[in-house]
Amino acid sequence: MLINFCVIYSLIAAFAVVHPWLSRKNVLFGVVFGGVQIRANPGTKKILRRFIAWSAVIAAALAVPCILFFLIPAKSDADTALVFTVAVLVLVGAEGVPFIAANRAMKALKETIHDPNLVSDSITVELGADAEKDKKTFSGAWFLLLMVPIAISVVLIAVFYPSMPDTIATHYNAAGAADAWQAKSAGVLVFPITMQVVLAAVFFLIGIFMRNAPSAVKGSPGAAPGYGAFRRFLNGWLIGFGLLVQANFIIIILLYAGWGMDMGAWITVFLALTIASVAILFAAFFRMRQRGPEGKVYDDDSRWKAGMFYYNPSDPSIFVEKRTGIGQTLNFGHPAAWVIIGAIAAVVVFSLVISLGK
Amino acid sequence: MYNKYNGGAAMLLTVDFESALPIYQQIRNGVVQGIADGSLHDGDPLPSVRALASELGVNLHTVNKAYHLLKIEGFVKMQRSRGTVVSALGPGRDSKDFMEAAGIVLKNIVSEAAARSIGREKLTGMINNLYNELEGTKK
Repeated sequence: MLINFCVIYSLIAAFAVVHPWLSRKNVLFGVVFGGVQIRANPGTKKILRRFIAWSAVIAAALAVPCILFFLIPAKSDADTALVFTVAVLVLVGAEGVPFIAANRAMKALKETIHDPNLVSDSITVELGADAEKDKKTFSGAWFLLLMVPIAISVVLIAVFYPSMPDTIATHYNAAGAADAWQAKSAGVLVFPITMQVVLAAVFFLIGIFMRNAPSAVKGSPGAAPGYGAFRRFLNGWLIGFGLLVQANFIIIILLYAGWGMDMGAWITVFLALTIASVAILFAAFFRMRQRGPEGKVYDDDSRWKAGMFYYNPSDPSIFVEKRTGIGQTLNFGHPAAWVIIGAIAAVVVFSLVISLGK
Repeated sequence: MYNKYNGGAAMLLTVDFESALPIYQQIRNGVVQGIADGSLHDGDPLPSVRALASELGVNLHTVNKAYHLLKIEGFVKMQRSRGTVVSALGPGRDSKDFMEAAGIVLKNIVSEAAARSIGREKLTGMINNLYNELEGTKK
């Protein structure tokens, strides 16, 4: 448990520290500049150094009481889970403080710089057939691929149900050994299919909402070069990753069918594929990031609250590209964004109530 | 500048947020100019209302108004499968309404030019130059 905690905690802490490199080269702490030269500015380097130092200090300071807690012998699993969750949440929240401080410092630095490539009074877009081709994304129909694993599961269950044993192992520990069993019934077999359907729905919704998200840097067709291709990649990636997660449940059905699957081996394969997927995602992001702006950049810092939260009531987009980080974020100026937040909060509260009630 | 656009092949629409001209009018004018100089061709798709509004960070209604105006004027048409497309060969291009409106605008310009003692040749020369410019960029 301590090892798990240390790994997850360190990953989050490391992620916070490398944050400034997870944005376009002309964006620092949510503040946009006209060119990549800003990274070479002595003022920027000072802000970066201070940010890294504070992020590291905060992560280390918060880690000490947690590790002390984990060293206490004879504590309940519930307490451990609680400390684990609280520690991670506090870390995520606390790491926001140096980010906001750095955001302010960058804005102050920006005031002192004359940036001729930055404009605040106009935006240029490209119209016509070429531009539409560049912006093309996966059509919603591609997400129907997520129905394939569900179909495979249904067929497998139909074929193997009669020959399945009367008692089915329904839970496995991390080492891949069965530790819970249930009598064979339609109800037990509905579970993996339900999970696949839920996953397909979630990935479909994310895909549909995100596939047209505009880039976080605007101003001219060359303001965010490579974004169109990256967004297309992200769409395909999402489908691929969805299929990978769904595959877990096909394995479970094969297991129910008594195929004697080696769960330990599958978990290793699954983890390896997941890490590879994430690595590919990062590689695609950094490939896009290599290219600085190749045209005028629009100064819209005022739309990015604290450099993190996009708020633009006149923008009809619900999702937009993140200013810092990989992926997309909500436009909090759009009412639908709050509906989504509300729905997520409802699910979290609901599952908390359910788990506490047990 | 962005290399791809050095050739001038692309149709670039610039919206000036500080201009006295309303944004919907700027979008409308941009598309008409694109058709005039040949950077927008008949049947070229235009972005959806939502996509353009989002790219420009302006209200949906603003883009809607521009597209509506262009549609009434016959410069674009709505196709069910492809959305809004350029209609460079649409009917009613030399409509009576336009010629009347142009007559009024030109009358004001010619009057003012005459009042400022600007000669006929200078003004017709200007109009010729503007036509040449459009034809020069035409592909």
